[in-house]
Amino acid sequence: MPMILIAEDELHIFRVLRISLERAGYEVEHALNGEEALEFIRNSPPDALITDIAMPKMDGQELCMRITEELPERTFPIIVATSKADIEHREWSRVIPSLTFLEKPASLRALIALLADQVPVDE
Amino acid sequence: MNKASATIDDNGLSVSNSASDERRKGDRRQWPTRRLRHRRRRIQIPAFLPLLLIAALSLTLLLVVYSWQSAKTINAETQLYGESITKALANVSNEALTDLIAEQGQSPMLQNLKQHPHFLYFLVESKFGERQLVLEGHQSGIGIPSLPLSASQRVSQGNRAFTTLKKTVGIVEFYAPIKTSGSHVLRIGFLKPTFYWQPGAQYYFLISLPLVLLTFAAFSSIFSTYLPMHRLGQHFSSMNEGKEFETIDNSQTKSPLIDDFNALIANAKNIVREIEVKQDALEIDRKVLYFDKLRTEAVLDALPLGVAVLDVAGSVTYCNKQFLHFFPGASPNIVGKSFSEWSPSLAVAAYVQSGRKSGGVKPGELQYEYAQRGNHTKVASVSMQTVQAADSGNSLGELMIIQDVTSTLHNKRMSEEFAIKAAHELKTPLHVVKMYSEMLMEDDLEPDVRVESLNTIYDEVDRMADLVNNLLNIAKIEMGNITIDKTRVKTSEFLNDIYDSMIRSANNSTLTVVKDIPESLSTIVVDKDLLRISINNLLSNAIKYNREGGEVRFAAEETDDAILISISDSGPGISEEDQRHIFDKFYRSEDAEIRKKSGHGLGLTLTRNIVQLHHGSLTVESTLGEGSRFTIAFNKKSNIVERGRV
Repeated sequence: MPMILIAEDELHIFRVLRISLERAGYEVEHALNGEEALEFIRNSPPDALITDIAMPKMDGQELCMRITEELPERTFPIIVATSKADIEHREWSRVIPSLTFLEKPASLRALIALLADQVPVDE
Repeated sequence: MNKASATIDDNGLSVSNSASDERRKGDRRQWPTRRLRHRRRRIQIPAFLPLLLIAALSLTLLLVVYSWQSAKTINAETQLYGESITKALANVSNEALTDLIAEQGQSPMLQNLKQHPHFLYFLVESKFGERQLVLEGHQSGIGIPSLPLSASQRVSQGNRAFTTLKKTVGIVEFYAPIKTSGSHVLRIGFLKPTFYWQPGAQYYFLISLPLVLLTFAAFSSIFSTYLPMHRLGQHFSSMNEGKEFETIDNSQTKSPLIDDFNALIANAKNIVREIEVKQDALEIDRKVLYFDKLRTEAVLDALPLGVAVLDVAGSVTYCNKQFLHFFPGASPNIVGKSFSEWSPSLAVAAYVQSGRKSGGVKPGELQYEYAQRGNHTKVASVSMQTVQAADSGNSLGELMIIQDVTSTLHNKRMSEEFAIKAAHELKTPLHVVKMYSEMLMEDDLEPDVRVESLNTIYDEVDRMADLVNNLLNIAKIEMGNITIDKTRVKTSEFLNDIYDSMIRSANNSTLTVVKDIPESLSTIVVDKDLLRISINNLLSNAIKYNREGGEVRFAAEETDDAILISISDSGPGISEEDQRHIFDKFYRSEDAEIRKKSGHGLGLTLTRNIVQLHHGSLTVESTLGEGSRFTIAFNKKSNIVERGRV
């Protein structure tokens, strides 16, 4: 099963994502913030990363930059869930390959469809 | 038309009656000299006249006495001479007498008589009154008096004195009967002067008169000039020794010089008095101006603004105390120096320089960071404009006003952040609700997931409602729109009531709640509903951020100064960094354990706002790993606490 890392400080959101993704056939790992997520990726790179922007300690933007810095050969896609206001400030994302923005409040179906397109689940 | 009009003169220092003022000024300029000249002319003439008169009279008297004495001597001589010559002639024989008469005075005897300076006449009278003039003296014009001798006089020798008919000339006449004839009487008359002028006396008189006059003049000048001068001299030296500027008593001397001096002194005193009056007025004006200046400076120093005035050359001519606070590092003596000489910031100096040339700096145009306090940078905003004199419109220089805009900028940034954060905080539960409800649409959802989803949605809606309430309350309090409905509350009853409702809602908890609220607390006057929100927030935080099986302590106590309400927990405690920001809006700890609890970072902000609205204070003490204690304190000096009422 493809392993998806979710960096999200809101536990309710993580919970609903986890249920939905597991039902869709993914394995889900959780990081409370950017730091935890980066640590996790260093040890075992996931098949995809879904991250929030506003997080304590290390936010989503810094997480993406650090991943790009530390793992220039990265292949897994990144989905950034963010609000409209933050999307307007995404100049920084130009230097980061295979990154998709998903506008909050996001539809679960849209997320799963996006994920299925980039990380197909083996039947 | 001396219409008195009150005017304020140029420098605005005094109010005076201009008409009388001018008259007085004119008087002062001409009056002393005119008066001096007038006095001298009047006094000099009578000073000399009586002296002259006295001199002439004394001289005359002297001469009269002298000539009277002279006349007496001469008359005595005449008496002797007359008697002897009369006796001699009476004894002459008849023939000899006839010869004498015939010789017409040629005889040596009569020559002598004729030479006598006072001899008038010599005649022989018969018993029938027939007169025969024998000899006449040089004193012509007097004539021979026709006074006849009495019978007794005709028979004896004697003399008689009489005056002429006009009574102007006194005459002494000697008579004697001629012995040889027996019937004839001889009469010899002499002048008998009352006064006698010695020959040449007039020359002495003419010579001595000027001498006497000179002497008198000398005395007069000594008395009238030298003595007053001497007195003046003494007076001057006593005045030089610092004695009173005084007039001299002139009632005895009546010296015009001293009069003049006294007039001068009186005049000088008047002038000095006027000067003193003016000086007093000036001094008062100066004090008033100085007071005005101090007051203006005090007002300017009390302003929370930096105020400075630059002259046309760009030098600082005035600055208030605050001004220098905006230029830390600048020397305190900047007055008289141009901006570039002292400004620690070259950029500001350059901007001010260009602003001066281009006619000012608009507010907000120039802002610069002038100091660092803790983590904040303090920002100043400069504005500059030309100041013109109210009357002439001339430029008085540039007025420069510097304002600290740190808090304005901070508030602006805070309100922007508040809006963003509020939107974010509202979006998060919305996001959750949307995703759970989307999941619920799945047909094949496990029943326990379905229940969990519904519960989550329910909680999140609650959380949103809570958030919206808090947001509204904070906004109201911060904008000053909230109405406080204060009522008198029995503190212990009020706190017990809160405790009871908390116990009801938290009855499934493993926590121990300790209540320590004495009955005897003073009453407080508060908005019950608002304060309840505060205390509930603190209690629910104490429950939320606690350990399993921990303790919540809800206590109140009354000290001499205050009523203290404290809520303690046995939770993880609050780090020092978190304590600094715990009351900031939307602040949430970065600690992962704490963030696992739902929260939006507004509860403590609202709690503190409400407490402060009641003039109370909210403080936190905490030890990591042991717990935290929040304390609300209402000072008894505020009118919140009603002392003695229970």
